[in-house]
Amino acid sequence: MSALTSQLPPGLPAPVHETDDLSKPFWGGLREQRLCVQRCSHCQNWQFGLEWICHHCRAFDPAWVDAVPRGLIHSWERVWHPSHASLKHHDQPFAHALWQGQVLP
Amino acid sequence: MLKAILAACADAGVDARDIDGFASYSNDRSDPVRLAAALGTHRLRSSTMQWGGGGGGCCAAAANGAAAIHAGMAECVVVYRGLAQGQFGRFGQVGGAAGGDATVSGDMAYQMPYGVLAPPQKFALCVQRTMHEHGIARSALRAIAMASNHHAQANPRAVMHGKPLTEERYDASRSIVEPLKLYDCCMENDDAAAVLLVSAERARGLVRTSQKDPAAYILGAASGADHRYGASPHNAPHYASANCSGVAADLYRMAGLGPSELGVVQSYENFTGGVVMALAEHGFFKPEEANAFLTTGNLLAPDGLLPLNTSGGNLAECYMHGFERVLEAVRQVRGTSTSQARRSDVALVIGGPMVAPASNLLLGTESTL
Repeated sequence: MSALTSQLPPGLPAPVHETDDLSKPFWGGLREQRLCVQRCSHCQNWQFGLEWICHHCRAFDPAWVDAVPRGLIHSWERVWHPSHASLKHHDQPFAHALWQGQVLP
Repeated sequence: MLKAILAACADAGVDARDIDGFASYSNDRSDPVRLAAALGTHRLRSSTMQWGGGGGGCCAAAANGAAAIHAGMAECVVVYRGLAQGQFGRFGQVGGAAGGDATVSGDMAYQMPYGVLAPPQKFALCVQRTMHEHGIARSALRAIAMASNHHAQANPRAVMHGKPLTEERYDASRSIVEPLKLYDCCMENDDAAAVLLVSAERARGLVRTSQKDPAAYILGAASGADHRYGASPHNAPHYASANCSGVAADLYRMAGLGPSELGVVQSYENFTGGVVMALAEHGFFKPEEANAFLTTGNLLAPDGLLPLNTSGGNLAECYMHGFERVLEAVRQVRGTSTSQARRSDVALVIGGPMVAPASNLLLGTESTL
C-alpha cells in the first residue's frame, strides 16, 4: 500500500485505499496516470463514489474504465483559514475546485 | 450532561428515576447505559442513536424518542446532546498538534490530502454552487448572521451577548473559506442540553400537578436524505441543495400545516449559506426570491416576516450542535423566549443543512393539536 505523497504538503495524510480494496483500482490507476471510475457492464451506468454495487441496476462488481481527465468546474472555494497543523505555515490562500467529469465513450 | 438532564427533569416536574428512554445523535459520547446507571433509573427501555449527518440529527433524535413513546416502547425519554471539544477533539481542527495519521482512506482520502479538512471547507463548495445557480447575494448570507447576532443581544445566556455585530464588521471580517466569512461560520464551544419527552396525556397531568410552564407538543417531524444526496465524495446529483426537500414535505404532511402558517423558525446554521437553502426548501420562498426575502429586518422578532434563530443559534447563542434551537422552539411555544415572535403557537426547527440525513421538528401549543 504505497502512498501518493509527492504533490502534497508535508504532514498531511496521504490517500490510500481501504483495506477492503474497493478503491484500490482508483488509487492504483492514479499512480499510472490513469483516472479510473466505475461503469456497470450491465446497464452502462457511470458511478463515482465507488461501491460494490451499481446504484442503477444493482448488479455487483461494476467494471472499471478509464475516464477522460477533462471536465467542468462545478464549484470552487478559496481557503484562508488552515485547519491542520501542517498548513499553518503553508501559503494561504489555496483554492479547491469541484470538478464535473465529462462522460465520453 | 447529567446536569442538563436533571435540569430538564426539574423543569418538567419529573423524577429522574422515571426516565426509561434515551435518544441522541452524532455518536454522542454519553452512553445511555452509563447515564441510566448514573441516574439510578428504575429501568432502561429505549436507547436510540440517529446515524449520520452530525448536527443534522438534532431533530431526528427528538423524533426517535417520540416514536418510542408513540409505539409504547418507553414512557419518558430524555433527548440530549453534550460536547466537550476541548478534551475530545474539535470539529474545526483536524489531525491534532502532531499532524495526525500518515495516511487516510475512505471518503476523506479524496479531500483531506488536498486541504478539504474541516466543515467550512466541505460546505463552502456547496454554498458557492448554490449562490451561482440562484444568484444568491452576499446580503442574504449577511442578513442571517445579523439576525442571529441581533437576537443574541437580548439573550443573556448567549456567548455573543454584549458583542453586537454590524454590517460593517461583517463585511470587514476575514474570509474563512470563500465565500464564507468569519460570521458566516458557527462558533465552537462546550455545553450540554436536554429535553424530556412524555405522552401528551402525561404532559397535561404534569403541568396540572406541578404548575410548571406549559408543555410543547410535537406536531410533526421527519428525517432523511434525498436521492443519493450522500453519494461521496461531493457526488450528490442535486448538489446545490440543503437536502431538505424530502423532510420538509414529510413534516408538513404529518403536521397538516404549511410554511405560510409558521411564524418563527430555528434553522441550523453550520454556515449561513446552508440556511438560505434550508428555508427555500421548506417553502418560505423560492431560491430566486432569496435576496428579497432575506433582509435583516424580515428575520427579526417580534414583527419580521419570519423571525429566525431567536436565541442566537449556533452563530451567536451557543454551539450545542443544533440542540440549542430545539430548546428555543420550546421557549417560543411557551412564550418564554428573550426574542418572542409575534406568532409562536407553532415553531419549526430545521436540523443540519447540507448533510445526510437532515431532520426537522415542528412544535406547537396544546391548542394547535
